[in-house]
Amino acid sequence: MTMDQLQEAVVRSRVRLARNVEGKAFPSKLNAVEKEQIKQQIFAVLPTGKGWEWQAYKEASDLALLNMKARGFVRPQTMDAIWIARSQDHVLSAVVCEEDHLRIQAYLPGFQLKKAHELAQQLESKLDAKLDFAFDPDFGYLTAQVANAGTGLRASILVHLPGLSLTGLMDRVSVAAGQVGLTIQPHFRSGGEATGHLYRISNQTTLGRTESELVETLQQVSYQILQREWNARETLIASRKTELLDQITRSLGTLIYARKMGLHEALDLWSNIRLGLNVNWLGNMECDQLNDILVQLSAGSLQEVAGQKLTVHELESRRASLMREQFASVLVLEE
Amino acid sequence: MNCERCGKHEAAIQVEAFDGKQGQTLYLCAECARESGNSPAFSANPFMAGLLDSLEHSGLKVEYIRTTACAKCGTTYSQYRQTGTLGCGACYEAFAEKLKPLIRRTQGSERHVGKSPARMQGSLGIQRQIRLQREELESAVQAEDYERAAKLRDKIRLLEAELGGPSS
Repeated sequence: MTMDQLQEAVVRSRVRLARNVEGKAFPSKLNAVEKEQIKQQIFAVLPTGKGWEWQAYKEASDLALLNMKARGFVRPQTMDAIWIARSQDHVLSAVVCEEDHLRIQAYLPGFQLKKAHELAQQLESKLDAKLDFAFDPDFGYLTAQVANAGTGLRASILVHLPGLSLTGLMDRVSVAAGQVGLTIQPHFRSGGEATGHLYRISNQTTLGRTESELVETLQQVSYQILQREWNARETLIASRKTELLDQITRSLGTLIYARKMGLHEALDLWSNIRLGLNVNWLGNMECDQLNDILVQLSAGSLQEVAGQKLTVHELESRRASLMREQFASVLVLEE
Repeated sequence: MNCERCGKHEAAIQVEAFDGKQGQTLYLCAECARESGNSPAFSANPFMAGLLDSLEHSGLKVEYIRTTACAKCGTTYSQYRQTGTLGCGACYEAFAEKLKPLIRRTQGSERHVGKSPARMQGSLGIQRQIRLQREELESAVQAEDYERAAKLRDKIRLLEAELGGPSS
């Protein structure tokens, strides 16, 4: 097993830094005019120029905001108008007046926590030179939620763990991760279960350890979890190969022929295809493409593409046609 | 065991009651707890805020809950308990007595050790602190609070010595 194979289980890495402007009340206490002032103040100092082109999402219209939520840029519970600026490559973003005045986020595909952290800190330093961030020597960076105070840093990976899920080891992994200050949560949930075997692993604590220590711990523990995941997959293949292959190929059949598809079904099928590709039973599709589909199949994305709100029926039929199109070229390599 | 106030009903809640000087642990039934104002506000959503008053040494001071508020943004402690969201940076100081044990328990530490803003670093940070302390000294002298002024003057001297000393 190679490092590359291990890392394939990680869909994306994210590092977020929460900051507030010194002397101003947090967004929940601001009226529309005051929020606008904060926005102006932050947008005035965002880097511009080569490699730093920013798209300003003004008061995100419903559809665009839904899509931003689906992509994980914005918290699902956000209801108020907010502003989002993103770098041209969509790696860096600044979310303004969500829970805190500013959330600097760096997203990278795959297992690239350290790089994401580096990019987020670079942007933060640039802004720090021009804005006074609310800070206390003891409490660190001051945030609306005490759970974010200190470093204001939340690092996370979105990871596909079918091996650990199917062998019933997720509970034990979660407990062990909790002991070293990490949290594991299902990314999509259906009746308490993680649909598509997708989980988010992130740091639970934000204060009392340096930013690098927090990222390093997440990186190292995640790596160990990935190794266990790989072992679990080997166990599965050794003991239930026919069943597993049957499940994967049936999933492909459904994806290629179905005419209606709900979110959770799509995620479960997506998960099976991903597993099949990772163990080389399926071919002719790259992991990157598969990760893009994960975003595209969301209601937020489908509606943005359609340019209108869709009924459940329309959503399911559009999702099925997206899946037919995307998975049509996948080949079965294992007999 | 039975409620230590009415002696009739089964005790349901453990509270720290304050009789002016000393804290005392009492076991009360739900009714007595509510009557004596010791019933913890029920907030299902914010876990963190929910932990605030169950902390071992924090005690449930009704007076504190009722009267403490942030002078800058007006958020009251009881609002914070309900929402779990602070109103501004100054809330941290205003509710420090409650937040410190909470942070220690949930974060495992109560002192930030990571990055700090550039303005807080090195000699610039010290200069800034000296400037702020001098402003405070000025207002202390104006208010004829000489005890505070003396303390501030000592603080400024220490900071100045740090500035003149070996720079790190």
